[in-house]
Amino acid sequence: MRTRIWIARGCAAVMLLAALAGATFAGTSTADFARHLDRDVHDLHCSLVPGAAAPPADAEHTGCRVALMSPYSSVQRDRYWGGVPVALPGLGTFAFLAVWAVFAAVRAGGFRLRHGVLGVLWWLLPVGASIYMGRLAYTELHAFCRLCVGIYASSAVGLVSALVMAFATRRSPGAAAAVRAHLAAGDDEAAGDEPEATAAQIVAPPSVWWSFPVAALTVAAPVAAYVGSLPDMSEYEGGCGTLASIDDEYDVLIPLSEGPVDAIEVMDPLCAACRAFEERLDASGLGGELGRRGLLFPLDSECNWMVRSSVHPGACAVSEAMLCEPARAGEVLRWAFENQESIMEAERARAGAAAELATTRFPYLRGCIGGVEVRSELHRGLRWAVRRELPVMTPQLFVAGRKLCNEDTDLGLEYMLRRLIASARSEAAP
Amino acid sequence: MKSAIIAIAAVLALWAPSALVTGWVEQAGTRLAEREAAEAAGEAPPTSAVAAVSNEEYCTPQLKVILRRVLQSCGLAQGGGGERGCQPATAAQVAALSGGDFNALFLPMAERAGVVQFDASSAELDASDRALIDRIFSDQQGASYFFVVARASPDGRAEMNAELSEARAAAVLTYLRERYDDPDLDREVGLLWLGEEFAQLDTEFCSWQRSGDAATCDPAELNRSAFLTWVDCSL
Repeated sequence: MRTRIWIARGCAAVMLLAALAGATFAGTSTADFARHLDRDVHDLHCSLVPGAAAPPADAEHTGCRVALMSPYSSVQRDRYWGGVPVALPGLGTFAFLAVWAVFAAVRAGGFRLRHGVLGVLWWLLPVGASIYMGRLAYTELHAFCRLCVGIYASSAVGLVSALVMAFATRRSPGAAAAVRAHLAAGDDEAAGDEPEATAAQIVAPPSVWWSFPVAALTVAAPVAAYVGSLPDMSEYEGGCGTLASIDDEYDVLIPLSEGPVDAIEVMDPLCAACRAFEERLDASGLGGELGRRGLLFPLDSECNWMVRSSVHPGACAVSEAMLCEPARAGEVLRWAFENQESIMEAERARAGAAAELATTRFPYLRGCIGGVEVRSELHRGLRWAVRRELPVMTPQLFVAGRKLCNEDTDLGLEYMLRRLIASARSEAAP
Repeated sequence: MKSAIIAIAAVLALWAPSALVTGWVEQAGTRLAEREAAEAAGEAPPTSAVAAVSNEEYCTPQLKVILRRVLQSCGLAQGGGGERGCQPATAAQVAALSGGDFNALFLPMAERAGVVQFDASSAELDASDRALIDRIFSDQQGASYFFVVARASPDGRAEMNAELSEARAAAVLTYLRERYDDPDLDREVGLLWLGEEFAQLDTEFCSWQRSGDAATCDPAELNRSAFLTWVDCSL
């Protein structure tokens, strides 16, 4: 009996440590997310050592940013700017599990199998969430962040401890025998300052009903605190400026999608932010609302005089490929998005390689890329941007002529885009 | 005692995460408010550059003054309405330069320019002429103005050479109109016809891109021509 109690207490201690570690990781992730509520870009705490300085932009650090900026990092995005970070309920969950671990340590003597099983069930919450999020990270994001891995590991350690504890309590002696064995062994609980209470607890195992409201409250309270203190973003709901004209006087805008609300996207087919924006737009479900036309704005000095160096080498050739057959520009764009790094790498190694890759993949482009007509058309597109004095950056989205603020193209996309679309619809209504 | 420990833990678990979260979010809100205030006061750091036409280093204030004069006096900066182009006397007058100095203005544009060479007494474009025009015109990039400076060699009468150079400039413009569906064409393309009277090209320009026989180059051939260049100056 005594051995079982000490095993249970040991398990409770490990659970407590796992819960505190999990809470630290989830809290750090939440803090990183919350810092972006100032609509600025920040470094992330991407380390298994909580609070450590952000490391250089290595693969893991990139993974943290990919995870943070992904559509899976928060929920309720159309209701709150950025949504509620998924790490936030995690923080509350681990806080509750810490309380449960304290409870288990203090009341180990009275634990029965059902207590152990309940502990396992509690720990299955973060483990289940970890499996779900880990699967998304693996299959959808193809990136893992260290903080997330810390949460997964903490959950796993906590669950193992809970299982061991359940195993240790699976054959608890009868109540009377337990009291006798306990007192005979001179256990602290029995010989301490509350022998009567301890005996009572052993005879009558501790109630666990308190844990349900406490669990609900520890999860709900931080969420409520977060939502209740969010900054007011209403000032940005009308967008950030307007286009002087949405006319296509140069016939250079390529069709990207069909939808009831006119939208123009300024894009570069080799720009990673444009690819990420496309993915976020798809995930938001709002893409179908937009009849998007694309203005190609390659950040490549080979054709764009507004950039001093080739930020995205090969982007001019790929843009020309899209302009060659505007009706088939979508398939070229998808190919370019999927192969951005390899196209740029090839062009860096040898000028003209991007055009060759495009014509190899799409033979109908042969003879068009690099031609005078398409090059002239590409320049006309750039002049379309000049006439409207657009910022030299991609992506930019204009909904019915109103610009979605640059700060709203990632975390705040669903929130602001939904409002811009609603505004455009209401203005278009008779 | 044990119940108290559990209660304290529960209170901490309820309070601490909420307090931390509130602090993080409110800090972000404070930073946002400070930035908005800075933007309102015009103290915000500069944002990204704005798309603009190119303005190369060779666009000195002196060059811009001359270009502006030429553009306005020769009907080039009026959106295509009315008379287009400068006759020899007008060009010399508005440029207020000697012929040599006028030609020297274009020297920094060597990479962007070319010389379309015509047959004697002809204003017809052949295939190599059109290819050169395409090569130069399609590489507009951020340039605002496309200059076509047509000339004639001193053979024959001066009046006839003035008409011939005008026809050569017009031939280039006609080709551009037919070949390119560019609504800005009339705003961009400026014609000057200089006949034989002003700013004849010397053999220094033999090394530039030329249509026709690249192996031979004499002053007479060089001036039976239309000189083309994009001008990367923002006026």
